[in-house]
Amino acid sequence: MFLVLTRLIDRSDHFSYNFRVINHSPMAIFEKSQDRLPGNVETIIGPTVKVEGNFVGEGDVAVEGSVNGSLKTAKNLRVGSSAKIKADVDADNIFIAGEIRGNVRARGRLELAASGRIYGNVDATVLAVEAGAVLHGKCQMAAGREADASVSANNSTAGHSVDELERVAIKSKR
Amino acid sequence: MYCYVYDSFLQQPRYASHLSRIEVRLAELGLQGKTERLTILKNIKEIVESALKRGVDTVVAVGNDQTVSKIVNLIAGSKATLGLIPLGEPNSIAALLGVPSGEAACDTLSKRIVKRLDLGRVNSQYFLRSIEVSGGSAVLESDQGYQISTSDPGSRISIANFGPRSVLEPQTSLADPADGRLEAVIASGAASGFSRLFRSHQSRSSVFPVKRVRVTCSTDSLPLVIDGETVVKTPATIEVAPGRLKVIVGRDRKF
Repeated sequence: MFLVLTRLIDRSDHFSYNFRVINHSPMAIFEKSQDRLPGNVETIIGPTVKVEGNFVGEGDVAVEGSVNGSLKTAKNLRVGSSAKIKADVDADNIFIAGEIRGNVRARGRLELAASGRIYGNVDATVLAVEAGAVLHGKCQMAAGREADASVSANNSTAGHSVDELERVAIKSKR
Repeated sequence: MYCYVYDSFLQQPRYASHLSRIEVRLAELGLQGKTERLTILKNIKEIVESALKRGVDTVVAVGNDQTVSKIVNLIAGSKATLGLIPLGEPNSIAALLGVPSGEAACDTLSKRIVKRLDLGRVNSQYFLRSIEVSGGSAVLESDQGYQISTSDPGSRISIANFGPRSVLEPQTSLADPADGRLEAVIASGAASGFSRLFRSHQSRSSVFPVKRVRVTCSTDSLPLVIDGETVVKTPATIEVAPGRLKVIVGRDRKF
């Protein structure tokens, strides 16, 4: 059963999640994700290949090998079960069945399969996590950022009012 | 104005009837031009350079892949357009360009569908299809700030511009010669027996789109085979030369 994190609202370092249960059969999302590749994938990093440095792609990227440095693409990223990535990762939609040691930013959807392991912070608009996956790090989501921004705005307005009240109180004492 | 360059192997008697039929068809279509026959005494470089100086606008390679590769190198970047009349084997370039063999190619010339293709360039030499490197000790350094290496000593690396991306996996999709880039492909050594069965579902190749890449080897100098013929040694810088060749293609072209 999948739990999709839809909101994150908190002013402190503690996170609170609203969970929504999806009525998919187990593995449905991930089976689809695995079927997507390697159809129109522009870059394929195979299991025997190691990439070192700052890789920037323009199309879909599939990784089964190793990447050290940073990995960024304007489109989708699939991290296969044999992949080992020590890099910050940035892509549109990301599917992870392998290991990533670094921060992960998905501008769209981030799917973490049961075999997936992330040791780093995660930033995504939609997050889907399968039972058994490992996620060591902070999680931030787009809806949460918007909520944080509105809460901060309210606080600053409220703070201003308190200041004004204090000034009025001081004047009245004098 | 046309210049037809006949490769030297076409002097063999078995090609005589093919050539006479081609010449008749060219005359029917009004595509006459100067015919140059390569021999041991006639250098292809001098022939083509002389034709370009005379203002020839179409140089037609009559022969096989080797004939085409030689002429591509000489007319790359010029105003002249390349035409093909495939005779003999192998003729995989003509097949990729959709040009039929023999006298049927004359009709393709007559229809004159001209496309601009990218070429690859290694050092100062151009290539149309690909460069192959044997041995997994090669390292590819991209000008975009990353380098690629492989742990498989039996792997083969190819930098493809046009046609099959790798000789080990010819069934895979073709490299596009009009996309302004090359494709660096690292194919793992051919699997056999059970390993092939178990790995059949998984692509064994890595593919990287590149515009400029340097091939080096830390241990020794590796040979780079250009379009299956010429050999240069590492280190070498390979880059794409976008739209450097004008060529007459057929409707059945593979790009």
